[in-house]
Amino acid sequence: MLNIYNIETSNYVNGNGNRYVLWLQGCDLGCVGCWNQQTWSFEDRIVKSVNEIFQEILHFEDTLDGITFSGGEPFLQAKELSLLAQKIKENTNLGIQIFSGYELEELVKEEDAKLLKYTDVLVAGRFDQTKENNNQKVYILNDSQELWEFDNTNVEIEIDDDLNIKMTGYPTNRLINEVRGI
Amino acid sequence: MSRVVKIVGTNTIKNIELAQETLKELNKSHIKIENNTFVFEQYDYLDGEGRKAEIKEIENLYKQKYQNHLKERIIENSLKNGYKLKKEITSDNKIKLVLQKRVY
Repeated sequence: MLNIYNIETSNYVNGNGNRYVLWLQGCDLGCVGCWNQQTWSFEDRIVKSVNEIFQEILHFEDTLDGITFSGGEPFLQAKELSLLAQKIKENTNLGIQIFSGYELEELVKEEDAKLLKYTDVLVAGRFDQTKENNNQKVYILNDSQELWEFDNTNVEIEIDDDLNIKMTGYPTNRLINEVRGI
Repeated sequence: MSRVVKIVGTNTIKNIELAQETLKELNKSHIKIENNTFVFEQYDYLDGEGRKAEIKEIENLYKQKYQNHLKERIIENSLKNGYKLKKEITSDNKIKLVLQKRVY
């Protein structure tokens, strides 16, 4: 089972094109200035099976350009996540991008290697908002994939019919506060 | 990794002008606005089912109007904060705005 913080079935600011984005729950890296600290806890939040998520991805497959795993720390759930990645790669043409707080050199476990095998773009390194590209490096692990250049200038705002507002991507605190005040 | 910020919506009327516009558009002059909600007079209906359907119709149109109002306000705020609107998508009753911070 995968412990998840949030799922977006359509998102334009976490890689190239329209992506299904999975934010995993749980991280122990404690990066200073992390803006997703609500994802640090390892307590169950949204628990779903690999198959459940895969079926949902298949449902949206025609509308998607790729899948993104973010967090939290995806590689702390590498064993289960690699099963999902394998299913995606064996049954669809969707690319996989991962945002991790680990350096590439730290991803040495067997399950890490398995997840990396199915990963097209890896964005890795300890998060630090004060440094260029948030201190993260982009690794294109599959040459057939469209190049993705680090971009932390995009924001997506979704307003649903119940008037809930969701902001993803890289909104400034000022923008968040102003939208909250509307 | 990108942020996830959720702002929970409210069922109460936040814009009286839009609420009045909704009632006018649907020709529902018998329905009033009190305490930021749409209210019926007791004698409007003998049973409650028709009332529920009518209030639903009004609330749905109001929400649609307010959703568009929020969109306009958000775009306005974003532009003021140095963002440009890259994409606007409407599907499944959701409005999605993709913005990019201008880098000078």
